[in-house]
Amino acid sequence: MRRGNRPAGGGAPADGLLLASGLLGVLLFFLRTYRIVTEPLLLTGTALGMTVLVSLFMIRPGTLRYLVLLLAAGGLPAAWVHRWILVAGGYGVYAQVAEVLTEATGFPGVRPPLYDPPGPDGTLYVTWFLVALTILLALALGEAIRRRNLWLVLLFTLPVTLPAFLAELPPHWPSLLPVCALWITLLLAHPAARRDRTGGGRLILRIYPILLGTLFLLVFLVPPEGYSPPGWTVSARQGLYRAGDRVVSLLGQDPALSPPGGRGSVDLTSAGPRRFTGRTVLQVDTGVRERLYLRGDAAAAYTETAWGPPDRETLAELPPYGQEALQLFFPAITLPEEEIHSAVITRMGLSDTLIYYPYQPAGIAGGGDFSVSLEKDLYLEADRNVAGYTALFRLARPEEAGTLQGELAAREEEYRQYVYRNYLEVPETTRAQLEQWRTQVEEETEELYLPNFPDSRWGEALQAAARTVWLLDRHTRYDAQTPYTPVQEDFAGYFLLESGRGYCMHYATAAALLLRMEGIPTRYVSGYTALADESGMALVPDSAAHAWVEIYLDGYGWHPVEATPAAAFEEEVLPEPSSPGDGETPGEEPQEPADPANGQAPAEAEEPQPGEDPGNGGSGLSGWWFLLAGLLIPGWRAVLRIRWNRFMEEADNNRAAVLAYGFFQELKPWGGTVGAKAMERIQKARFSQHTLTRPERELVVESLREEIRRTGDSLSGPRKILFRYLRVPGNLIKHEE
Amino acid sequence: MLYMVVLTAAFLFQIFHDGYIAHFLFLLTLFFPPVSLLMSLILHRGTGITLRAHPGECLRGEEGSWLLEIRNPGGIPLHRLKLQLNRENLLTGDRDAQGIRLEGLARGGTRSLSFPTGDCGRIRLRVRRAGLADLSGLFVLPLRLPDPAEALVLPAPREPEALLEQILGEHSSGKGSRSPGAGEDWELRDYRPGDQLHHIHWKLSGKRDQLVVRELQKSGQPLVLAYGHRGERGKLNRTLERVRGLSEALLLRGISHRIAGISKEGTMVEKLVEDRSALKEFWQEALGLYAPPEAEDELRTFSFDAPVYTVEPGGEES
Repeated sequence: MRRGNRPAGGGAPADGLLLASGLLGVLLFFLRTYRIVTEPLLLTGTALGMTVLVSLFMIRPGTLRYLVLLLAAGGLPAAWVHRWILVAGGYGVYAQVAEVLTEATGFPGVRPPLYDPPGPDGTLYVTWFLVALTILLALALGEAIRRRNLWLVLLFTLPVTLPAFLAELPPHWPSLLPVCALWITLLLAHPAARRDRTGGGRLILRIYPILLGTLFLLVFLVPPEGYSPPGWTVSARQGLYRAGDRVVSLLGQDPALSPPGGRGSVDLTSAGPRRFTGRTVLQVDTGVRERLYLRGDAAAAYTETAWGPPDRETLAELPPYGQEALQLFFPAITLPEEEIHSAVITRMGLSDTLIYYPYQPAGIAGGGDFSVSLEKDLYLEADRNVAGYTALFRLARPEEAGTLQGELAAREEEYRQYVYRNYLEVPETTRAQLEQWRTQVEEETEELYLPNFPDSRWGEALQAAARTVWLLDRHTRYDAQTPYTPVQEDFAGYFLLESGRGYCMHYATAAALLLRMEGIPTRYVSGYTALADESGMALVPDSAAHAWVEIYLDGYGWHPVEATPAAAFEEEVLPEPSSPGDGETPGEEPQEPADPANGQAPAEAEEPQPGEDPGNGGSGLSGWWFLLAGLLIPGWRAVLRIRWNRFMEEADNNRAAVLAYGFFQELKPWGGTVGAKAMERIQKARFSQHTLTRPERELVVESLREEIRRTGDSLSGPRKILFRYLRVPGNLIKHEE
Repeated sequence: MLYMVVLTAAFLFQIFHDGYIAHFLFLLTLFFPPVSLLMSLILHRGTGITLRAHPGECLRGEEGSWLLEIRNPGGIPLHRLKLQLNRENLLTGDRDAQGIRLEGLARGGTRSLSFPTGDCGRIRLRVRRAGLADLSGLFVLPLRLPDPAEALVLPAPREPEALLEQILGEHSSGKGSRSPGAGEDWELRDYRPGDQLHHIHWKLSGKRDQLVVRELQKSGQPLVLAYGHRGERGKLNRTLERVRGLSEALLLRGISHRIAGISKEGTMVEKLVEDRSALKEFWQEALGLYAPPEAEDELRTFSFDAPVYTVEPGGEES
């Protein structure tokens, strides 16, 4: 039947072309990006067959529904009969996608319940599942294309492609480009072309090949392999950050970076819950793949509520020194066998005079534009604002250090005396509180922590430092949201005796004072941590701001010590999800703190995972994540609620127990386990011929509730928030509370 | 606007994200308009418009229309074809503009546009601007402007019976027309140097404040229908209708005549009408000449050497 003078089947070839490109493109993209192994002939044959079939049915408007009915009549019974194959295949696909996304993003993957990796038939199961999915997608995409509706097409294609982009998986471009061409073609098929099916079809047939060719040409001319961002983007980013800095400076600055008291000072009363803007502060370009501690400012004198620089009289005692014998450079001088590395450090915000440098500094090169001096015996400062410079450094390994000779040895000895006079002070009231804490924890701690340090001249000092950090780890809790210290309270004393929680500023302060009490000259240091990616680039966000301590090793110089517990260090301080003790439960075993001195970068930090872009692009995507999270979180919570309600309303007790097992499995990454009694009932439900009784089901459910509550309580910080809002249905939480 | 938002977003994404996807999206956004433009230029090659009046003439008050023909040899639906049409009545000087937007027309087509016919005149329609939006809608491809089209809005004939009877009476008696108020076979005209003093019409000269002479009418000259080619629109329309009615009535009786449109500056148009085609030519010319809407005064028809009959908009005819 013809309507008016418009041919009913107009545009069918164009629809067929678009459907073929969309369906095959999406399918291939999915398989290649998520590394899913299938039977290629079966899947390709289905995709091509469905393309032809749907295209034929699209010739006459309104007949696509007959195809749907036809396929439903034939396919649904078959799918029902072989549903376990489809379920197994679906689990296989789900597991593979979850694994790839987990691998790329570092977020804990969600494995399906009762999933065992498919055996020899696994590939076939996965293929059949994808065949079913392809048939459904072909019908949906066919209808969307017949309507020339870009939004519907995006609805059916973006769920496959978008997660890969967000996870920064390297996309399979040859399959992605036809899909892109499909999107752009429909974008250019304006309303008039959509109304006129024949004319619109003619338009599509002409522009699609041109667009596809253009896209391939684009990727050919600017290939993804070996891509590095153009230089102008870095300049533009810098400019924008500087502009942003001007705004930020009006709103107040990070106390750890620019203390109100000026350089060499830290106002501890402003140490409240940590807040970051996510802006990039520094860009570091270096060949060193280990985590670097970029030392910035330091402080010498503690006054209960602040760290400050040495007073004038003290500074007057500071022996004069020349550029060749900067006390800070003593360690580098004693490490002559160590290779000298370089790091090009560029400020992404306003230029400044403070020089950040990695341990152990061996020199600062700025092209002769400025000169650097050690100020107040605490920090390096340039004589003018500096936007970028090159820092030379030797990786610090005190056990490999040599001995200073001659003039340098004499200078070091002279400086050492100054250090011992001025870096051991602890106010009396603070000392009393710290001694009280030390006594308490020594009594409570039965174990004796004796870390293994290589024989060296400074083993005792290093061991004392490690034990202090260990004690802090055992008896305090890391919390980035630690509230402000009450007025008139001693910062360190309140942290240790009252609150018992803190972050890097608290730990560095406490460690510095405790070590001073043990007779080890110590000072408070602030700066950033950075880990370069494969290209050698690291963008350091403001959230990488950190504080640690330096202890003085006789005859060697200042040596950095990480005072913040390793597990907490992972969560809050570093921009990358890797640190010492990764994956271990904090507090169970004594842990070696990360050592800023020798760049004890964990093994996982050495080899960034494919697709990961540590410290480089995270800031770029943060906006995407926030936007997406804002859209998806309510939806996700609704899904959780529906799942939970379905589970609770499940009429079949055995099925309910199996579903409960799925929930138990999902708790695993968060530290949850299945109780023995519950497991027994679940196994009975799954593998025996018996049916669970109502009380048995209640036992499983109650056990699950209890485990959810226990898991939630055992978590802290952001993981707790994530668990409460993204893993557990809201009504369950309310019920539990 | 939307494109600028997308471009800005892609630009910022390129700046803040170091991945290849940001670069790809930025390049895609950047090259999208030129690629779209290039494709549009190829696909819409040969697209054009022509304009003609349909019909070419009509009576005042009847329906008048233009035909706009769109050629689209490419067979691709047009995204947005925008035209700016200017219409002008050459007689009255009235002007207006109209914008037209068309889309689709994969095989071309014709659009009919009506125009008002409340006033007589020669209506000229001109396409001032013609542009076709490219596929993305970001660019406008200019189209060649068609020749202007014209249509005549003719006065409906209205016969001034009294004047016709007068003309027919005088014409059949073999007597020439009489000059207004003369009562003799004289013709009045302006004084020229050398005219005899006794030919001066002193009374009329005094009245008009300039010398007017009487001259004997030469026999064999066709009579003249004079009308004021000026005045307020309604009166002008009525005048033209009476001129047409009178002229057609005379032609019906085989009486050749001349029609003269007189304005303040003198004779605007004059045409010997011996048949209908001549009459049509007269209208073609007369309706295309601007008639200012100024106040009426007495017509100056003195240069004619034949009986002159002045056609008024209504009321008395002489």
